[in-house]
Amino acid sequence: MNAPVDLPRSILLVEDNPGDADLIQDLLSESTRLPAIRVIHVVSLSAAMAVLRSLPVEAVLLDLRLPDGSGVQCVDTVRAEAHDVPIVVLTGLDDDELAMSCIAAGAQDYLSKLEVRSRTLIRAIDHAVARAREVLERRRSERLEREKDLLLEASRLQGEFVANMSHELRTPLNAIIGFSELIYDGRVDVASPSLHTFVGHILTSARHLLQLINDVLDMAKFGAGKIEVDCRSVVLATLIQEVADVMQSNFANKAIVLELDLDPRVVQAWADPNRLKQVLFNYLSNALKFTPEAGRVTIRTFAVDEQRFELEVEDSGVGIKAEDIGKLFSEFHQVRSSTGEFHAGTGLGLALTKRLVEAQGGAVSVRSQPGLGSVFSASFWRIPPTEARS
Amino acid sequence: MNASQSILVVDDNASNVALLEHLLKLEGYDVRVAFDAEAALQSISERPPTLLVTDIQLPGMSGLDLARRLKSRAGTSVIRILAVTAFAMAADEARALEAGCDGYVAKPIDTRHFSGVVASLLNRT
Repeated sequence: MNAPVDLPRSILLVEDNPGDADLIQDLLSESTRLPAIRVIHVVSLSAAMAVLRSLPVEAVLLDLRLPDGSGVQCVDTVRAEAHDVPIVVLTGLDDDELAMSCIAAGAQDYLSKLEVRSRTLIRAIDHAVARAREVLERRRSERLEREKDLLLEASRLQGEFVANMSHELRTPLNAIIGFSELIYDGRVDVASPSLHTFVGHILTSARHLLQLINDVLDMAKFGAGKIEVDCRSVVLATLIQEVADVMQSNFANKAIVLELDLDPRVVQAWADPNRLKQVLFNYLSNALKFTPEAGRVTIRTFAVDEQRFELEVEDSGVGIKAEDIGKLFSEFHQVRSSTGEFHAGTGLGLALTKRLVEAQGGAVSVRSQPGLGSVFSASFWRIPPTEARS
Repeated sequence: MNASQSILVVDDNASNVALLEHLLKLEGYDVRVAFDAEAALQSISERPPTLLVTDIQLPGMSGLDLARRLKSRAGTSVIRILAVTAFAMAADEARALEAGCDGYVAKPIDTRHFSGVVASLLNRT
């Protein structure tokens, strides 16, 4: 039980009958309990609301027959205004059913005015306050527990992200530092074709590193709300062809056929050309990673209506398990393919893609069938959204 | 002088395979390469190497599972295993040793000291 110092000092008495109000006040002043209870007396619900809004009240003694409310409705009204203040209902008759519905509505206790004595009244108030405090305390500790769980999860993801980043940075650095060191130390014959090959490895790895850094920076910019998207009218086929050309050799290396299936109706897009290319590049990189040799990847566009179109990348890869699809576009989550294979990345590519598409007024989605492949899609405007009819 | 000792390099990253292959060939070792654990097992069944130099994160079976598998079978348990991995935290080294690896090197590797690590593993009896 609470120490005496925690006992309530100030209560609100809502009672319009002068006789009953005097009786209650007398009962309270008879008490020798310390601290003495200060009573704020009002005669209507509306006056009670005004007090609850402006003064600290530790408990409410509430009559159920007031000029502006009666029955359980009185409890509801007080509850709606003050969620946590303990309410002790005063009933004129010994009406158990009404009393129970008041408890259900959030009152802590009820007393019959006909039977009430000083000691029982004080005890009811003290208990009601103690119970309300326990509820508050429990709610508070539950909230803290939830917040702690969220923080722990965020910190775990952050730690995972740092570990992944470390892994992803070290992999290209191994080739960059390793080959440079060998060449610098004169351990590569400058006359042999190996030199050219090794410098090629350094170059490829350095470019990969740059890509990684750009992804992380973009992600950080999104986090700070500083990403710049400059939408304008662009010729879609040209952009798509540029990305396809850049990626072509990567697909050829795995003997994967890269096809274009472009809707002739969709000529113009309203997008940031570099950001749209980045979206397509990210989807294609993903398709490349998850599609086995001799597979097929298709870049498709189609008009949804006069105003919007979809850009899709379909692969004949291993597919994604249904339970992983929801997590695909969230940050720091790396998803295994349906075969359980783990493909390392920064865990940022798809999260970044989602934000890039949304910044251009579109949305991303994915559908997949394990074993058959996946379709990643992004919607874009064909015309400026300001010109679009609703 | 090292030609009698064969080393199998396993890594899914072509640049890293090329680096390790060149580095070990400079020391005169007989070097073979594989890009995943399945190909490594195939190569080992044909001709077991003296030393396996393996990445940990591989497509399909991981380098650690490969190490466990080799160490748990009589025919292959004598193959010494060196993990070369970009997982560079202290716990990662412990995990590698626990899986049966005899040595651990974090990427990026130091090409000036790598051959010393390899030689000490090969000379260990």
